[in-house]
Amino acid sequence: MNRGLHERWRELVFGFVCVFAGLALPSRGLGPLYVGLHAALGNALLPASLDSGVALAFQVTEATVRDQPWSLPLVVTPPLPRAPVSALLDMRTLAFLPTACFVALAAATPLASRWQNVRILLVGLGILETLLLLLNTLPVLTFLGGAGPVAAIELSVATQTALQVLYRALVASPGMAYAIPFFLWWVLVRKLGDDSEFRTNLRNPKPEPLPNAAK
Amino acid sequence: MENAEQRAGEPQALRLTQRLGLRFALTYGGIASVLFGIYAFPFELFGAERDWLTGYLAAYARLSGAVLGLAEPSVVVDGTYIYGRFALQIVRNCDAADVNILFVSAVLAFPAPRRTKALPLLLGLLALVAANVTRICSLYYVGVYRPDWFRAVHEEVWPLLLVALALVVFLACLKHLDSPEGLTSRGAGAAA
Repeated sequence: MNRGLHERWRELVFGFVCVFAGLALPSRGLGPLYVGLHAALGNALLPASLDSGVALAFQVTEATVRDQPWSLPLVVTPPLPRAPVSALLDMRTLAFLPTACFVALAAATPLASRWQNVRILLVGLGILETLLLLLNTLPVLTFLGGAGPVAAIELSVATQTALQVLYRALVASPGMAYAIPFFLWWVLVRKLGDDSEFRTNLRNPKPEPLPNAAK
Repeated sequence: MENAEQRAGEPQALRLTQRLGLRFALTYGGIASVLFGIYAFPFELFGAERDWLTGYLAAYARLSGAVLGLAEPSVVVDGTYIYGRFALQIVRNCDAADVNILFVSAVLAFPAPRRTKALPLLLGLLALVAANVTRICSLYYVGVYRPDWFRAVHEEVWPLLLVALALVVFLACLKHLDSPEGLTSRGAGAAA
């Protein structure tokens, strides 16, 4: 028996709230592990030093793990005699919450089979994590390009402008942490979901008149 | 006979819906990019000490301060600052511009006659502004009574609620927009 569309939307909202709260509520939660993994990934991707002689490294210390478990410190070391400076990346808002939001949406969507949810989850996480990785380079590039105390890389005004606009629009805007995973989920459910009724509702939230071809 | 014709019309209707969906997505992306570009433009890189945003944020602070002042007579607004039992500063993104831009872009990009968009756009924006002023007032009291919750409520809870509200308001607006352009007229033409 087909369940009503309203019931499916309620199921989606309830499931989303439960999964998202379960992932996001523990304020410390997965923070140290998550930050540690990102520090390892970041150090693998970052060049050891730039042409300007500035060295970059993500350095997680006991103090940051204890006091700010979601903060990832980027240590920028300019050539002597200048002292190193440190910038903290908040991995919770930059990466964890968007991921948790997408996982909750993908898990809670009432589709024809659980396999559909798994497929949306896997495909979506691949796209989302790549996108987040790219987006998270924006504050780093902005910081190193002159917004921070050490100008480690030279950027033209046009590049700085483009980076600032992208950073402010897609990273610094708090709503984007949820809007981006939501858009991705919407697109994937439309493309990969099997549940015709729910998918049709996402396609056309407003009832539409059919072309009068049959007349 | 009618059923066969109906079946023949279905792929055309689907293609038309897909085309409208693609057009909506592209238009939506275009409008949102332009609006975000204006909002997020770094005027300071071009020597500007103040941009239009400062006055706008100060107006937002005055509006929020006036609402807060109904319950908190001690609240004073100075520029973009709200002083009282807890101090707040309205900065870029405190105006929920991201959510407003997403909503406005969606309504403007929706394939419906322009004349039907003005009222839903205005009412939707008013609802979002009201929600954001409520957010700022609630943050004031969170700061007064549970300052340790401030960061989570400010950066995690309210953004989610505002994005969800924007979606709900957009879906509500769709009821007041006319049928998608072309689905009736062009759809009939394509099927004829």
